[in-house]
Amino acid sequence: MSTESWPGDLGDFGGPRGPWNGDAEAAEAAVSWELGELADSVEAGPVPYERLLDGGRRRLRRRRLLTAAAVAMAVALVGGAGAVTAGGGYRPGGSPVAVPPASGFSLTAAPATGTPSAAPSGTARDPFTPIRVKVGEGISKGRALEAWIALWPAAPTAEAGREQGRRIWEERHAVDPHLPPDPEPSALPTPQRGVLLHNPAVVWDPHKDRADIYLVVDGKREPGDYVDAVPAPGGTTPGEPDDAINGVLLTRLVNPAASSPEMVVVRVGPEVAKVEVDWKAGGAVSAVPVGVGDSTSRWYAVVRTPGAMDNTVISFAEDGTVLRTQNTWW
Amino acid sequence: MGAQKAVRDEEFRAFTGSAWSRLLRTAYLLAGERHGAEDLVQQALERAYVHWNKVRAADDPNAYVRRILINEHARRFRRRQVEHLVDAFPDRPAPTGPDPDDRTVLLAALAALPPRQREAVVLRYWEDLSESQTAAAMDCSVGTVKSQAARGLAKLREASSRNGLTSIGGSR
Repeated sequence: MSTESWPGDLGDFGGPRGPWNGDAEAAEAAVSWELGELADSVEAGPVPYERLLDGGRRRLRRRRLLTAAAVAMAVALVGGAGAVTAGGGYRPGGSPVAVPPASGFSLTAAPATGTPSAAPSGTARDPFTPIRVKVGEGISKGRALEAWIALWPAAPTAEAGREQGRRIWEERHAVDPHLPPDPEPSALPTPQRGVLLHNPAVVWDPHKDRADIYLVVDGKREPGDYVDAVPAPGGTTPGEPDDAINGVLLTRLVNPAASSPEMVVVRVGPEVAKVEVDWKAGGAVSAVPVGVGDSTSRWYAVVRTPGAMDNTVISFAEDGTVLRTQNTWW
Repeated sequence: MGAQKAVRDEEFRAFTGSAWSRLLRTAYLLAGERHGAEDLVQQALERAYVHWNKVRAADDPNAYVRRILINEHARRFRRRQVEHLVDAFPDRPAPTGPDPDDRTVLLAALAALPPRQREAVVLRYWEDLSESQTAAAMDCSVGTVKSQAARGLAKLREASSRNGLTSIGGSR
């Protein structure tokens, strides 16, 4: 290998040690030049216009079909929920009535029913403007349940992270006046500080969005929410590869004081197109995970069958293949 | 409807004609081989076609499509669990051949980088984007771009020195 100087104005960077051993600026210039050489070695050839157009049109058709199908499904879901309310399930003040399996009693929203309050992907991410999406709904004990996600995009700086945490707390506090203030990690003894490292409501991570998961009952937000940290698009989350989040059960939203029915919200990876929950006590319900903004995570929600635990969840890919089967703790 | 489609197709053709070569070369550096690069560009341009109204309305359509390309690369990597990454470039005999061998070394070193580092290096040093432009393309913070690019650069340098190259490009 030659140690000759670099071409053109990069020559000065070379020197006896060569550019790769020089300062950072020289190394950047060197790699820039080398990448250019490498890229230029590629013969672009003729543009395959027809192939590109055919592929684009095919995608466009598929997208339109999927949109139409989602709208049709949403209409069917709304109709199905009404029928269940009228003919079964739990009646206000009454005792539980047996519900046939997969009748729509524990119902989740199809993607089309999600109603983002902010623009989804493609727009700038504002750490102080959450994106809200309803990820599931159902009826139990005559009450309309809705599971919502408020996704707060990752804050780029520690200061912005603190401000974001303050705003999230204010919003939660408005619903739950008894909510204690978030502790300041630096003010705590070391052992307690260690525990806080697992509390995403307090600890800032520039590579993670904060997802506030909450329940709305009969149109009113309930206390007892849950704040989770989820990988931000494009962020790096050391120690947590993408596949590690799949099928993790996040939370169970309960308001014991109000004897509120329970709803389970589960975060899954983007490869999960549908899930089926088989209740151990009998019956089943399917759910379609819903995306929130440009997050790579998806969420689904189901009304939990009272008394049932150790149920089974089957996750399906878009083509219908089974991705995994898991037992639940709920 | 038909007229709209014709306009869309015409605009798409014009854009593709001007952007194809650049996109293919960027994709080549990201994918590490020709067929993978063509497939990557094909997927990205098909997506661009679907969202053509957004592309044409963008301040910089090239940047918009480049971002689609980067997203597609990231998505593809997430799906491809078989791709095995190494922290360090494997030892190999000191190259003795001319330039093409050096290119192979650089391409292999680039392919050994984790995808986000690869993207940062390619966008910063081949596309010659600023840190903020790179951050926009990768949908991450400027700080992430800085760290990913610095780590990628350091690994390329390490690979260079391990392979006994004064420069990856070798003799001129």
